[in-house]
Amino acid sequence: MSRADIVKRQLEAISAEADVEMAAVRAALPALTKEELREHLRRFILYKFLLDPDCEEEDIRRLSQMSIEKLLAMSTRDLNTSDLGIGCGGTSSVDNKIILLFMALGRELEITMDPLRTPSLKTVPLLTEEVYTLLKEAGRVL
Amino acid sequence: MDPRVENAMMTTGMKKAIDVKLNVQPIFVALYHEHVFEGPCRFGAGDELKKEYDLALDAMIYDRTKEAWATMFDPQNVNVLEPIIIYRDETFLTTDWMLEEMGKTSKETDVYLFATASRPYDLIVEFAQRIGKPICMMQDCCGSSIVIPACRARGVECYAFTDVEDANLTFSVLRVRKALSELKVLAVVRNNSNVSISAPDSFVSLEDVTMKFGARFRFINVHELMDYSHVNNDSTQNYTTPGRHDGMNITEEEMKEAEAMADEFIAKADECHMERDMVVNTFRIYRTIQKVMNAYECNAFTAPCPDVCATRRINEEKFTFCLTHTLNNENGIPSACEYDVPALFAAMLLQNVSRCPSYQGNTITAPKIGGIRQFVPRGALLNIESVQKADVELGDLENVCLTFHAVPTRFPKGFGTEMEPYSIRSFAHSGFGATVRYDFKRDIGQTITMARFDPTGTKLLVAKGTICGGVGYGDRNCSEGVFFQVENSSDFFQKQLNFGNHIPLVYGDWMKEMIRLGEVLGLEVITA
Repeated sequence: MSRADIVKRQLEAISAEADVEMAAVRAALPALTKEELREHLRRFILYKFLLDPDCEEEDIRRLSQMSIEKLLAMSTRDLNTSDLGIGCGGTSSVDNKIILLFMALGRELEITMDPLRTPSLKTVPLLTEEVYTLLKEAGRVL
Repeated sequence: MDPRVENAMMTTGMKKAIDVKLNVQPIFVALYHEHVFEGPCRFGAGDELKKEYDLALDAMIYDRTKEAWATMFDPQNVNVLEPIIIYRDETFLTTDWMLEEMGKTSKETDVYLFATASRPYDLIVEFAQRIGKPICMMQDCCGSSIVIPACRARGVECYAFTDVEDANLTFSVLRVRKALSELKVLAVVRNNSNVSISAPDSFVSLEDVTMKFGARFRFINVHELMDYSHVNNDSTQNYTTPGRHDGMNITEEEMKEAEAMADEFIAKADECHMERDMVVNTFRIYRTIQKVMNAYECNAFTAPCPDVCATRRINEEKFTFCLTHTLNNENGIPSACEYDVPALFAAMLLQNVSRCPSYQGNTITAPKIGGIRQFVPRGALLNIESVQKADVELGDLENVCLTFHAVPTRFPKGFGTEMEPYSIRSFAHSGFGATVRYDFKRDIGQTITMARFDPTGTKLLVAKGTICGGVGYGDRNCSEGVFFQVENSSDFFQKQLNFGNHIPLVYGDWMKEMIRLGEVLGLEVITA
């Protein structure tokens, strides 16, 4: 197995861990507490961003930057699955990761996140508040 | 009474040029794609091609841009209005609603600052053509180098900035241009409201100046002004405007204010070589001029001293305008000797660029030829012993010039800075006309920046020098002066010949700012 294949398998495994966190959120509904949601979201973000699950940083932009730094530290040859950002109109990799993260989150939890509110969800607690409110408005938490 | 009649006499008082701010309206134009597709100008995969992705991205870029707009500009110069965001999809429609929304603050906006997500270039160009105000952008990839040439080709004034410093420089000079357009000069007139006897090197036409720069003039007859300086609570007693109850004679209370100002002026001086009543008398005309300027909503001042001198009224009233010019300039009210309007306007530019009070005077080169400093007056105008002393102090320095008039500032290092030491001497040998005497020798080595408009109002002289001496601190008359070195005094003189006698100056090197200002004013800038 090539080194690139090994890295790819590692990334898929980490991605699966992120899926587990979302599955846990869905399973905990409707009794899910805000604290539980926050912990699942925190771990979901860390897995999605390929960061250490013990990382205590809560600023989502900073986490995205750390993720990019980690990706850049890997050899580009190893990163066929890299999600370094590309885009029309000046998308930065950091922005790209955050937007894709939120879109994935909305899809996993079947909630409609307002894209215009993206910049205001700067931290894990703020994101938790937003997601919890959306779940509540949809009658999916008590 | 009908409020329309009452409002006819309602004034807003003086609005100083240094307080004028440039109102910048930021507009962010965002693009989103309604449909999912990839093509030559749209890249990405999966979620990146969805409308939600575009909207989130637009929001993030806008959020950061808005945050930067709020802090990147000098708040002394710029007032950033609430940003406007315009969304557009890949249909690339320009609707009237968009244009109206973008222009909704046009009444107060001076400059539009654009930032974009994606390619709304045609929309900006159409808006710029219709709104008739300057537009600008920070350099980006690649809107600035598309929009700006497109707008310039269509006659729109526009700018793009390489960095924040560049943006602040441009905004600072646009602010001064705005302030110049809001300048309203109280111009004291005796015979001719366009030029005075002593300064025919003033603007050929004040009407042209108003048309070109927007600055306006409010003329007042010198005899009416002089009569207002007579303390009288009953304005109907004014000799020049008999029976009018709306005259502006200085009241007893205002005269007390003038006396208090005079006492403070004397108390703060290192030396006072005048009788108190003569200093008070000088403040009498200063206080009167402030009253008239407020009533006429003026924020600049000039008076034709030689024309008035010839009436003998200055001699009779026992004051000169010198101290009024000094105090006005110290208070951010451009004020020029001898009805010299190009000097007044140049002083205004210098004061507003540097935020320092300016000094103006007769400016001559003083080359040393045959062991003698040439062209420096010796005798009635400049005390011969003081000039001889200056000769010795200057030694063999080359490229020396002299600017002299009794209107120095006590705050040469900036408005609101610590007052520098000064003394008080009369202008007249008989003891009237308080003037500030400042020892420029204290500031040897200090860089100065000078400027003057030419008589046609189409050129601006901008020059730099270094203080190398002073004269007249211990003398009366116009003799107060500063010697300075320029790079080439012959070149300076030849260039001065296209401009005029009085060349205002401020401390500091403001060449870059003044040159840029001259350019945005549409002037041919001559440097020396």
